[in-house]
Amino acid sequence: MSRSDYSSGMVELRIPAKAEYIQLVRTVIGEVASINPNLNLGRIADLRLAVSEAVTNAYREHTRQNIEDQIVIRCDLSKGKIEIEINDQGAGFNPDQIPSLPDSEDPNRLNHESGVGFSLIQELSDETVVEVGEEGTKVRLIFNLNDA
Amino acid sequence: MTLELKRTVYSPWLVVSVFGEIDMGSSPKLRTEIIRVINEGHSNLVLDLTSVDFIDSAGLGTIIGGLRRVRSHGGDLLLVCPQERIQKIFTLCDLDKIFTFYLTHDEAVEDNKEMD
Repeated sequence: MSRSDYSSGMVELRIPAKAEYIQLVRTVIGEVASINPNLNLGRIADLRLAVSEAVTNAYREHTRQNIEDQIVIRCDLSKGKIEIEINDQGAGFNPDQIPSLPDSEDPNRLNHESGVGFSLIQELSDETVVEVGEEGTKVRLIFNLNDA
Repeated sequence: MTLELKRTVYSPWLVVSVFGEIDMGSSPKLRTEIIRVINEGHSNLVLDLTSVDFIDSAGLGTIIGGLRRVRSHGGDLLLVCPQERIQKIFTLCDLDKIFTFYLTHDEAVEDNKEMD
């Protein structure tokens, strides 16, 4: 199957900002991504985790700011790569200003139960783009495809 | 939320086996269980992740918090984590420097006999 067969491969999900929907999103997006045979199982697992982290961040922002709008997730298979956009209505963030954690060998590291989500997203995705504007915050995760 | 927990006494260790996916939605259930078993007097825990299909940063945070809690009671928390894809997530977050990955309960307990 050639990549051009996915020219209309856009899937959109709209979910309430509730934690119980995060599993649904990663399951659906993982299944959508697996339609393309050029992404191996390991990369699909990476994609599911990165999507889950990004949706979790969106959920946290909506919860923190009491935003009732839905979170929108779009998955586009049509560009010779897989692009997933997570769009929330939170105030956004600057990836360069995320506080760093203590070193793992520092006993104080155990006092930090959060703070690795965005670095995981960056580690797992081939490219990560954050845009903050009038349409809210958009985090775009890009996964390149290997030739099968 | 698909997370199930099962306790097994492996004296002096208490094994908490986790089944399913640990994420933002399900991790509070695991956190509650860890706090509960500590309050019941068990500070030496083995957390068995053999049947965990997925873990995210919220799950990692819950386990880090569990380790902090048992240590504050003079105990320890061991991880049974034979799956490479789950180990990889710990490693990406540099947590392989904090946790040793054991393949079985027996290996974890045998390697920590000084706790007996």
